[in-house]
Amino acid sequence: MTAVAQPPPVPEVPATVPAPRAASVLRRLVRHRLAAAGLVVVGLLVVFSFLGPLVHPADQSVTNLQEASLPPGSAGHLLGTDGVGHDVLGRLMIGGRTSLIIGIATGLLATVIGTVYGAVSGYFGGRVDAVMMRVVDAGIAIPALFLLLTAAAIIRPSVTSMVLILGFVSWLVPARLVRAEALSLRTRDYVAAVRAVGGSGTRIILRHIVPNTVGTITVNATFQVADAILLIAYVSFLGLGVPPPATDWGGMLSDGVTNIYSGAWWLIFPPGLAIVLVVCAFNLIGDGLRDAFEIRRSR
Amino acid sequence: MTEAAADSAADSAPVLTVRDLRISFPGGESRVDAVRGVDLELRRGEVLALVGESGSGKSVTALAAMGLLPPDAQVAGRLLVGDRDVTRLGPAELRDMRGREIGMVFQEPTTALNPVLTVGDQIGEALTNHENLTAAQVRERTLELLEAVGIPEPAERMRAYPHQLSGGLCQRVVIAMAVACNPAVIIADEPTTALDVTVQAQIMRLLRELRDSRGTAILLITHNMGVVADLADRVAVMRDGVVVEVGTAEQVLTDPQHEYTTALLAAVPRLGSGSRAAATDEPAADRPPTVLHLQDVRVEYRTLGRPAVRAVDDVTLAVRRGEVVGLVGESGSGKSTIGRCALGLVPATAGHVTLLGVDQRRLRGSRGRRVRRGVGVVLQNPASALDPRMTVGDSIAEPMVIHRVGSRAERQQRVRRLLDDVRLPAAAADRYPHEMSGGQRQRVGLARALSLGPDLVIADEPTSALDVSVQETVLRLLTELQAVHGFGCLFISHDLAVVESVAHRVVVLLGGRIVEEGATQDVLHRPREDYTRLLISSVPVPDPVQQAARRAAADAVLRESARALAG
Repeated sequence: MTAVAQPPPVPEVPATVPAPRAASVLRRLVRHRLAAAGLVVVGLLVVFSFLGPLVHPADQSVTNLQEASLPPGSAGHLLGTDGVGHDVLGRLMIGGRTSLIIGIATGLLATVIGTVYGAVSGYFGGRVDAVMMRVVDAGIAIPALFLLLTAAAIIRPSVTSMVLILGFVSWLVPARLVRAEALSLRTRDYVAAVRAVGGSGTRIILRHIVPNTVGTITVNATFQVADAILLIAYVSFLGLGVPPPATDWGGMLSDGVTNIYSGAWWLIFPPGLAIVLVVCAFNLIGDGLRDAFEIRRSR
Repeated sequence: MTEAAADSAADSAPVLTVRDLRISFPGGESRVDAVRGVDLELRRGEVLALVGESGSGKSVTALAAMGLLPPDAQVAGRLLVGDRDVTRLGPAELRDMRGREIGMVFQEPTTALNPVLTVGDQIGEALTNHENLTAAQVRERTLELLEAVGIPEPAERMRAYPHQLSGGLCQRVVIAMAVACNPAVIIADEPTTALDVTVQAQIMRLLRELRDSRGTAILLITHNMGVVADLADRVAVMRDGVVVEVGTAEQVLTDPQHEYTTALLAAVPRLGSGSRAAATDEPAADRPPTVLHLQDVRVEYRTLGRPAVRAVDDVTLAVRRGEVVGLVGESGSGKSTIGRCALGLVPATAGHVTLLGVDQRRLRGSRGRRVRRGVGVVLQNPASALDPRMTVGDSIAEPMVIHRVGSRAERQQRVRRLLDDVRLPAAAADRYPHEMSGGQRQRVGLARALSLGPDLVIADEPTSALDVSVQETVLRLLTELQAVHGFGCLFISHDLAVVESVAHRVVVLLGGRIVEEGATQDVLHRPREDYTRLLISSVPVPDPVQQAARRAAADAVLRESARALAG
């Protein structure tokens, strides 16, 4: 073969919007002011919940009625104590641990189930899709809270069981989102090219469809985490959360409400504020991620 | 006629004047200069073609003249429509100017029209934007316009929705909207690119008539030198935001002065510039084996509750190892469906598809997989042919992974060799598709098709989304690799000149049926069927004198077939 095919004399412009890579998404995310704030808040809350007890050890398993209902600023109890003498600051830390673990684990579980389900449904299309999506519709038609309360009444609540139950009700939305994208991705030429050389459905779904929905998936996952934290707060607030002496922020709020008339505001505000903070922070990260994935909109 | 128009144009004032136009866009850290000092003049009744490849700044210049640039564009210089400077007009003045003084014809007629309004309503809208008319007047003017753009049964078609009309009729409606208020200038941005050649010829005829009857000046933006030769009085060649050459169409196309124009014209595939000979003289026993055989294949698309649409009707064709068979036809002729059917992506409703000696229907499971090893595929759109989240190396290696060929190291080595085969550096393996140009991506697609050393390659319009110079390199590469590796190739294209340059044999399709087939030089140079003749004569050539003769020939074919139908 002789030397041919010199590069063309004119510069060519890529026809597509480049698919952003992980590094550039992260860079844009950090530059996004609100999202960066969200990241900082989440980071601080994680440090507070997981490393805080090392700085401020407080026994949460033993009740101490002599030191019950102390107001904030009491000796050794920066945020006071609750009705049975637990240190509120220490309790906020271990409660945060539960909330964050359940929230993030649920977000991940729901996203994984939803993504696989949605990708399969969208890729196969037709009747398979119709049946799979009617199942999702049925699931969405049942109020999640109702399901949760029923389940919590039957099953003994623990972190694992809460994650499983919450995950089971939260995968529906990501399933729909991913399915919608898979429907359009499956008609792309590169999917046809893989099918033509004999690539299997599993390969196409896992290697070509799912990776191309990563933007949607990540953005939705952050919202899922925020939603799960809220849901676990609801359930605990209704007294069906993880059993004492373990607790989470929703459970703390529930305990605090019984003391509201005695003026113990320090039992309400810290966990309430923590819930608001973490949910807002995750939502900000989600918004920021969406902008970071969509270069055109951020301009 | 052309000279007369140019003469009378010379003494009138220009209707569109561009003086030292500079346009830049924000891009990354610095600004990107899309247009860097362009001067143009367009007079009444004149057609000025602005030609160039993608990224040359021709479309940006046109959008600037309409005042349709995105807000982050920076514009310097003067852009006069009549005597008003578009760059200094406010939104209200721009609205007033658009439609009345300058009209626009877009590339894709089906998206330029609103699908939920009737075409009559949309033309009426274009009229009432600038004039206070009663409903009866609007109706009357709309009818006139539809008639003027040559739409049959205008009273009926007024009530039709865009999806009920063909692409060619839609483009006529778009043109009717552009000329509704009798603007002095029409900007036509690739007005025929989305259309079939025979329809393209009709639209060009219409634009010429409008120019002659109304004296409308046309700024024609195109990459197709044949269209330029057919329509333009003067030509401006753009490259990298600068006009490199201006002159009359004859001068620029037949005696180009700038080396870029020369290169651009040389890259245009020309019908009749010689073709590859078909190997027909060998005795049947020595002929290489058939790699793809379609026997009475019929493909129907079924939608629930509607009659089935027959896309392919009793097609029989064969591709042998070592030969390239060109499959030509206009949109809706079923050529892509045949390709997809051969690949097993679309099931045949009736008939037999034999791929590498095995019946398509028995291509399930592990056996089907083994047969598919011998098939490669190159698809049309470079933007979607490669997975954006896979490196180029992974994409090329994927067929090998699917068929468990070689170790990781061996695959990497083969990827490097394939990249070398398609003239890409080995470092390209670690890059992502968006970091490459359309032509480079299409070469990656070719490398992927060849990664298992196939006996059959199916190429569906592999170059139709590329600029001519890029198209030339990709086509040359394909023919070269085909000659070296000797695979059989089904080459699907709407472009007769492209098919002529790569195919040994040609199959012409119309409405899902084979109209004519045979050796390339026979079919394209001595066509037996009227349809083939019409198809060939509709392709514009980049030479104004020749093109005028071809146009006359095409008209003659049309008249003849009309007489045949009547008689």
